[in-house]
Amino acid sequence: VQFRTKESRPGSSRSLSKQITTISEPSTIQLPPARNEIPKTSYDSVATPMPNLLESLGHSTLVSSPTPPLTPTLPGGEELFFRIPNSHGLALGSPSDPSSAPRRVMSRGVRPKATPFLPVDMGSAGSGKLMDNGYFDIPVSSATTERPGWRRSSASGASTCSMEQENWTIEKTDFGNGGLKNAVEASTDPSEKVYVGTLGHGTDDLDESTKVAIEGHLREDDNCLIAFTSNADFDGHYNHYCKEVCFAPFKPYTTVTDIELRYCGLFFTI
Amino acid sequence: LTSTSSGASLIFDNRAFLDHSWKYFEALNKSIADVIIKDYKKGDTVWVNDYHLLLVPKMVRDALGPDARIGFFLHVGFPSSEIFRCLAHREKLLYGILGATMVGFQTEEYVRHFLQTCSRLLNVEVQNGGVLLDSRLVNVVNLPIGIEPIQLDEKRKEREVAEWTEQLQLRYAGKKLLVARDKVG
Repeated sequence: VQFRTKESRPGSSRSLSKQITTISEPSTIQLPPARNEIPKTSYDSVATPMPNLLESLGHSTLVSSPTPPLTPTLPGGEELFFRIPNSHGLALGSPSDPSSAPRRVMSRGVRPKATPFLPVDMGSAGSGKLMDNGYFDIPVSSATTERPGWRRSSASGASTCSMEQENWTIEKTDFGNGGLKNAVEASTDPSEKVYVGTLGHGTDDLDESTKVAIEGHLREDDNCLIAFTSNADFDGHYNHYCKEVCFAPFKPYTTVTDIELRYCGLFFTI
Repeated sequence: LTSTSSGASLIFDNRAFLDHSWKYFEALNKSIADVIIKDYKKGDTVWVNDYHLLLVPKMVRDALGPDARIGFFLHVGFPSSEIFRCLAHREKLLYGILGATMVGFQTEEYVRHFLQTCSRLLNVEVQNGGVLLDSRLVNVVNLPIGIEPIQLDEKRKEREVAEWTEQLQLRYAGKKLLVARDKVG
């Protein structure tokens, strides 16, 4: 598939064919903490003893609960799998995971044990913050929040929402799938391009006017189309199906132990 | 008695995988697909990325018909059929991907895994470089995601990178070191 891109605005060249690219997180929406709460399952709680499977299946809690209950796992398997990444502070996810770029800001000194050669004074190089984004903590300086050459940033500056009363901004993020971004940016095709994705979290807590405002800004300024999802759908999709069911077989080299425990174990323990 | 209880737990575990979070996966894929379908104009190309959206190509295809150009790229690995067959919704996932016009993977090995999985689990005709469905051919290609050398070179010159380099050189002085970056998990 040849990928094509252009800096044209929506509406200005509707006759041209365009690229619709789906990504999990087109842009970072910064929301106040109260609204930004993602009711996702921490791996700590996953690692705690599982609820009785027979019991949970016997009740119809799946339908009524606002967020999905924990995905049942085989006894024994979950402990090894989920505790190790959590205790090391590793982010689980593929390059394009929406929450592999969590907007969790770690204070200096709270450093995962699994980063043995993280330079000690790295945090002072940037703004003193570390973003927990994978195997290593990435030091984040304020200068890296916007890259030169990124279309929207250069066109509209910090792109702060014009409505001051709204407590959110749209900002470019360095997270997400760099390879995908590079591919899109490097394309010389003159067609219009549009990103389609979620906000990276469920949107039950956003009122309709906020959704409309966010949707409008992303569509007009950034050529991004938003699929608003309920908290339950987002949590169930991402934290449960993607991470606990799909995750293992699609990551054969990093979770081979888990696969053996979960799948092969399943077959051979009869 | 032991064998009976293991058997029972096996069945229930399978049911859990079958029914538990699948509907959320489907629902989110649907909400993405709906946005694409609504915005689509004839001649557009839709490019679907990664395993979160495995069902989107088919959802879009069903709505837009056989002429729509839909690409799908899987950024993570594709397992062998022996592992993939463990997924309760394996057929829906595979048909979801096969809604695309072209499917891309990171390595030749993943291409082979995918083709073999389609052949074994769906019983469809697979040829070198594609899957033959009733009405159309789905191209399956090895197209590893590249790096952007100019941008990478600029990054290498940043002060933070220099500090990392220095730390690594200090720590592994006298050794030859190959440094790579990867996501774990």
